[in-house]
Amino acid sequence: MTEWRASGALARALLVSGVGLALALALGRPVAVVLVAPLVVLGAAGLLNKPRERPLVLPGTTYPVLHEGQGTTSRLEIQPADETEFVTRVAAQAEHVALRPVTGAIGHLVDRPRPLYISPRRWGQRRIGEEKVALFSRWAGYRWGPVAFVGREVSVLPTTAAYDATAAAPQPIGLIGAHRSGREGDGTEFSSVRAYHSGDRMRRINWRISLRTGSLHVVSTRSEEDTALLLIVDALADYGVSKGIDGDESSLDVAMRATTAIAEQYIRQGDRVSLRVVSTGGEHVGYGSGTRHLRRILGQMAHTRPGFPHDVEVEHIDFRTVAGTMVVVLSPMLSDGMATLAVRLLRRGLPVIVVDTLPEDAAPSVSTETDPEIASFAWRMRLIERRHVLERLAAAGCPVVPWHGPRTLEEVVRRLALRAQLPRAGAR
Amino acid sequence: MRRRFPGGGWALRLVIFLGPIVALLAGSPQGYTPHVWIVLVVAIFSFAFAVMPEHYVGSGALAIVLGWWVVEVGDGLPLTSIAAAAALLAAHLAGTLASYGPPRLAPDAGALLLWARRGVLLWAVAPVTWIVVDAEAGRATSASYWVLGLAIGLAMAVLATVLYPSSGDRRM
Repeated sequence: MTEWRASGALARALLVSGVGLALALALGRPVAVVLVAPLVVLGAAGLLNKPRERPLVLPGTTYPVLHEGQGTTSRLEIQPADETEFVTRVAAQAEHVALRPVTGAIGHLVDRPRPLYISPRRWGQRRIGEEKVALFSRWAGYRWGPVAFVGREVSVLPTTAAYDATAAAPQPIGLIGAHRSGREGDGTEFSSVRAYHSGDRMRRINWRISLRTGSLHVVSTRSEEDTALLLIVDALADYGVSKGIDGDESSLDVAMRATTAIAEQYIRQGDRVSLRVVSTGGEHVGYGSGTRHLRRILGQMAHTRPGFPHDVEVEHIDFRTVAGTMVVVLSPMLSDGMATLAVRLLRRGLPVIVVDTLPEDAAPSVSTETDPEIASFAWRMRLIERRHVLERLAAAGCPVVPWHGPRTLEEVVRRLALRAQLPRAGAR
Repeated sequence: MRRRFPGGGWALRLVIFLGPIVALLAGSPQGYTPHVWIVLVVAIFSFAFAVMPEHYVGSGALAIVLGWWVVEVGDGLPLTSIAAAAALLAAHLAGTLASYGPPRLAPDAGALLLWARRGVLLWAVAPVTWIVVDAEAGRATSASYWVLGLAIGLAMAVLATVLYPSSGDRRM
């Protein structure tokens, strides 16, 4: 560990004082004494205040988990503090981490601490609190450091923009919940007026119709059930430039923030939500509900790194869906595998919605060796192919909607729910 | 270059740069005017001092000014030497504040105030010394300076040994 060492200021004061006193004594020049007298006193004060103990510096941040855009303060504890007068801290500039002061450099007297604010601007794993610290003794005679501290890794969760959806899920099959079921049951949504059967509740009898018709009639309602929601996030690649929460969004930014909003909304209304990220890590969270489950989903999303899975082909990933699950695929649809798996889920009879996460101004990042004209041409070709894929998906009964905020899904889900109630012609 | 230093950092570096030059020119009212080339040399050293406040080049800037005063004034003790002492001290203290951190570190208001108070107290030593030396003028000889210096040096050495034993002494 670093020891206290004489500072440059002390060395300068002693050097100039020594030269001045030497000249005064050797040549008998009193003016030299007058000129260096303040520096002699300053040098002596610096020497006399030499710290005796090695300091213990403990840096730390307040929160281990943050949402993007939230901030935390980085604090510094110094023991013993009485031998230190001034603290200099220089925080490392990290990608997608904002600092205040913007330069990341802050200096203050020990007894008047000033906070260093850190705010991650993008979801993911971020290292914060990485800094160099230097301490100065009283009268700036001695310096300790600078010593580097590595900081800590924090999970930065995507922002949530919750909303109250009014659209019911297309095929709710759970036990209890907020979605109108296709089956009749004990709910509040009117279904029909029908003749009384044994087992019907007395309070359901419609006396006016019963008197008019001469036989007992009851008002039947649809039951209300919860639904299962599977969120599939395409993290095979990240298209576009991400400038954090305040700036431009990449395709993965859109996907993560959209997933967060959808998951929060469905979990809040009591539905079971599952997450599968198609990426190198293959982050997966099973079906569940409640606030803790939402935190698990967000935590897994924060660990996502874009890339292709090593162990399985994208088309062959087993999503372990059950009947009645609503599937939302969040993807820029630039991979054939994602389109194939959406169609595969659709053919199993599941309602599938594709949320297009490709930003309008997205462009591929190409190496400097690539001709920009050729890269631009190839990108345009890729976009044409993508458009055909999206059109074929829509034709197959899989609605494709670009993400426009939390209410994006509402109209689509409502239409899917209506379609699910229509009678179907089945071939034998 | 403009973005390299925050606002307060520029002010500190201006004081570092101007301090030695002002100290050099402080004797002009009493007829001690430096030659242009010495002003240029000091300006160059001062500039380097302002850019690298933690570097030994700062000692060079202050030492040149000191040397010029010793050579130019001789046995005299002009009153303007007190102003020169203030300018040298200001440059040194600004250098101390600037060397607290990297160039992008903005000076702390609390530290500025603390060092301003200390600077005034330290500078007060210069006029007191001037009065004492001026009062003793004619009575003290070169030999008496030598004896006084040796006595102070010995006293400081003994004091430093008592206050700060070496790591070898601690092990014993």
